[in-house]
Amino acid sequence: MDDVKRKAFFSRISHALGRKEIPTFVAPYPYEKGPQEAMYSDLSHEQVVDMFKVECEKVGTKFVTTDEAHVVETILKEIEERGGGKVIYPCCEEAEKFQLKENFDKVDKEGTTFYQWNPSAGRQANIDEAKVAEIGITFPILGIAETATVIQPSFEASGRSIGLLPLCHIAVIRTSDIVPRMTQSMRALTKVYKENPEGFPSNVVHISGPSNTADIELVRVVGVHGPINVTFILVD
Amino acid sequence: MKIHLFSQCLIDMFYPHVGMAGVQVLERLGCDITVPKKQVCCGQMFVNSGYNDAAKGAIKNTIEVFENAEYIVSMSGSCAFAIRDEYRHILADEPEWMARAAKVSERIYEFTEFIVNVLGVTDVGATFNDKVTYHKSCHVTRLMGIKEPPMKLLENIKGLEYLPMNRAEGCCGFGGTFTVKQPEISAVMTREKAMNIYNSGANVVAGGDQACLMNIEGMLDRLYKDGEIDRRIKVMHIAELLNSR
Amino acid sequence: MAILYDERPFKKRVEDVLANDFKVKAIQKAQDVFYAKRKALVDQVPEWEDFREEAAELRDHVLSNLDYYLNQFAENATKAGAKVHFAHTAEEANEYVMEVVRAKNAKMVVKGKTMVSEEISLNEALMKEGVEVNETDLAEFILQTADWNPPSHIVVPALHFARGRIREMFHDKLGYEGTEDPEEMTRFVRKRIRDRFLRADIGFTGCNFAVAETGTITIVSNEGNGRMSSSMPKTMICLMGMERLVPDFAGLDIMMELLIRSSVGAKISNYFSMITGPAKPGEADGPEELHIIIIDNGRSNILGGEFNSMLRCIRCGACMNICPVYRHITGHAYGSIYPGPMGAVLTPLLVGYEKAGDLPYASTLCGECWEHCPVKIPLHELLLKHRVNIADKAHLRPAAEEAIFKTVATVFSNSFLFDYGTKLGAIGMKLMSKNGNMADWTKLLPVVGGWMKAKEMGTLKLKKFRDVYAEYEASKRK
Repeated sequence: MDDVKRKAFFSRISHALGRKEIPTFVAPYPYEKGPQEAMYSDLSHEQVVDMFKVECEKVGTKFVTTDEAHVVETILKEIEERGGGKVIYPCCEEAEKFQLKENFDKVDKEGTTFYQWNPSAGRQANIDEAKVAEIGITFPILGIAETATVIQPSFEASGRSIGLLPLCHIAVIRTSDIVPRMTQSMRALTKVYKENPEGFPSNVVHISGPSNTADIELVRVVGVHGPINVTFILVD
Repeated sequence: MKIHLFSQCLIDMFYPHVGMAGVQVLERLGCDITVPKKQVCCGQMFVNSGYNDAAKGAIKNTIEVFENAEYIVSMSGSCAFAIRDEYRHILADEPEWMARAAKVSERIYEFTEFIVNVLGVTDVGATFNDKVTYHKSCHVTRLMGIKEPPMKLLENIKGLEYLPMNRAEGCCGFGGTFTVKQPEISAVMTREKAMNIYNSGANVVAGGDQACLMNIEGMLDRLYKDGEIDRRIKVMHIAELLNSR
Repeated sequence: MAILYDERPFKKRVEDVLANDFKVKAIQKAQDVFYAKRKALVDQVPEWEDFREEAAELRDHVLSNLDYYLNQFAENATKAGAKVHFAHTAEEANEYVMEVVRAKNAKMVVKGKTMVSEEISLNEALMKEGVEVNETDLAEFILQTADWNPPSHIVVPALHFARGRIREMFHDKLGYEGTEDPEEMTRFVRKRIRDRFLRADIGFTGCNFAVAETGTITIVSNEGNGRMSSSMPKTMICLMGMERLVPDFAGLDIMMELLIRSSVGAKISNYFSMITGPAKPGEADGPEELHIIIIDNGRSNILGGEFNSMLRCIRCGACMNICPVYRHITGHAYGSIYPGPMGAVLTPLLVGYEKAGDLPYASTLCGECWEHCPVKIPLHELLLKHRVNIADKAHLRPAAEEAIFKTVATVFSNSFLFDYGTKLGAIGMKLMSKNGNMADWTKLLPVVGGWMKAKEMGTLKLKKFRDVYAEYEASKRK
């Protein structure tokens, strides 16, 4: 039944386009004529990172800078500044690399507790932890300078809920992963896809600040369904 | 330079002095003018209402009258647009007429476009001592893309103080037959335009399309009459400003 | 909500809106705010026109190869684990939805903002099935609370409610006890909807762009409703219009450059989700099942025809953010979920001229919509095409109007008739006027009466320009 409907569906389209069958080949769209490639091509990487920071300031997204050696320290400081509470973080490679678990286990502050995403505990257990967390920490794979955006994939070790359910989202991103525009980030994602289509993350979200709305009388309110606060930690 | 003047039916019926101002400006710039007696209407009001078939009579009349002209200058931007861009669509199924329409379409110019881009003149030596704002009509500004010429001409009028208005390029609410088909909507649109003109501080509003100007004038006069605005604002075609000494 | 939610005559709808000052002022404020924000951003992008050109071309490229790209999309989405359905009609789309609802024994669903769900009256279908529906976009939530009040704008659909009125509704229907402060009310909604997100059996979303090469669907949102609806419930249903494709990720770059700037005058939305298949095995959240319903609902009739360019539309709302007619009559005068210039073109294509033949006349053809459209749809030209179809081809305008136009057209095509006709008119006007002003009763006249209610009428001159010129020329010769 579905097949019949599908066939009819496509035949209507092909017919409207003046042909009987779906073409087997279409010449790719020539993107090279567009202006996007040339934009910001004269900027150094340092200038691109600066642009990211300026854009953060323009839209009021908090960012702090640090270096590889002080990542954990900076995260802890930011947790404190955001008022502590329950912190949820992933079990991804980056978390391992910065030994978040080991470091967080050492923290002894009243009111601050930590939960590491644990896929083997199953869906409900993880969501139950995330929904009561005050702070979620993630490690985006890319940043876009033009719009002060970070790009966060979801995968087994880093669930969607971590950067979504808590009140505050702390995203830790390397400045070397910041690109000028979506032109470059989309190219990078294309590469990821083409190398292993089956392995492409089921969810990739671009995050450009805390959730907001202007639905009531156009008054801007920060914090609707997503986090109310966002901090980008930029790692040099 | 020999030119045929397309006067526009509204100027013909309601504003002869505007037509004469156009004639005098162009004559001063060395043009040899003909105002064909058999011209009537470009047909756009029928076209804009979807009555293409009915419009053909007016269109063919215009083609017959102007097809042998060297240059055609229109005193109204929207008519120039209709003649330049719409005739060929409407006559698409009549190849012979389409060829004749092409001759007219290629030679039609809007008044300010002709002076600035064809004659290469930006200063016509006019003097006009007052505060003026300018309504940038949709057809001329957007659909024909003529943005600079009227501004350049205004800049060079001695004594003229140009005051910008909010949303100068916004529609005045005339829209051909829109104004009679949707008078309630047209009224609120024109009122907003009139208030933008009033709030610019100008004593005169000028433009290059007599249809918009007639619409705006009707509203400004009503607002003044009803005491809603406290000064009378004069509505003038740019040709009248260029014709002032 | 059906596409056409108010089937009263256009004039009647306009009358209602014009009498509602708050509604009109709210839309005007929105236009002014979006205009200023958009302009400031666009002025920073010298390449803007190049992007528009590229986006229009890209959309046309996709449309002229729609069968190819749609097929590619379906194959790749299926490979990624999604279940792809094709629905020719609204009814078919709803049938698919109900199959999923029954299979999952779903009792409660959440919905991110989706226009196409309005197009197919999904909410009504779900409620008929006994399912609790929760709109989660704040504005849609407000409209739902207001007993499914219709949207007045495509992007900010509840602007016609003042905060005090929203507070009152929240209080009466939801037991809200707080103030009318937008932030406080938003927090109230956050809390309420958060619970629904976590408990919902199915999450519905729309689809801003689908990517053929990867089988990815994408969702733009600022509030996070799209992100939540696509992340929390175990089952996700994505509804997409069949034309909403880009070839590949590079295409998203172009469309995203334009979409948000055109829509609300921001560079980017807070969230932009790319969803490729359901959650993978081992993932502890995200949808376990992803259904993508690709909807035709009249689009294949538009494809390849004289209105083909309308299918470029990316639903940004830029045309209604600038339209001077929409500015004064708001979305409600269109009576359609698709208002403004794009709605005036699209609605008649989807529901026919008999029902929506008035809409193409809700425009002065000023072209500002076209100038602001990020994909360069010549909306003013399409409106005119509709008028030709309605007036010239289908003869659906009132007979009296057609007769008047034809008569006037005859007079205006012959200088002899014109000269005598207008001379009679000038004499007539003189008789109708008192001290240079038109008599009051003329406001009741057909055709010109409407004008005279609001505006003064100029005087038809007995001596026309051509007469004056002839005298001038004769005097020169002397």
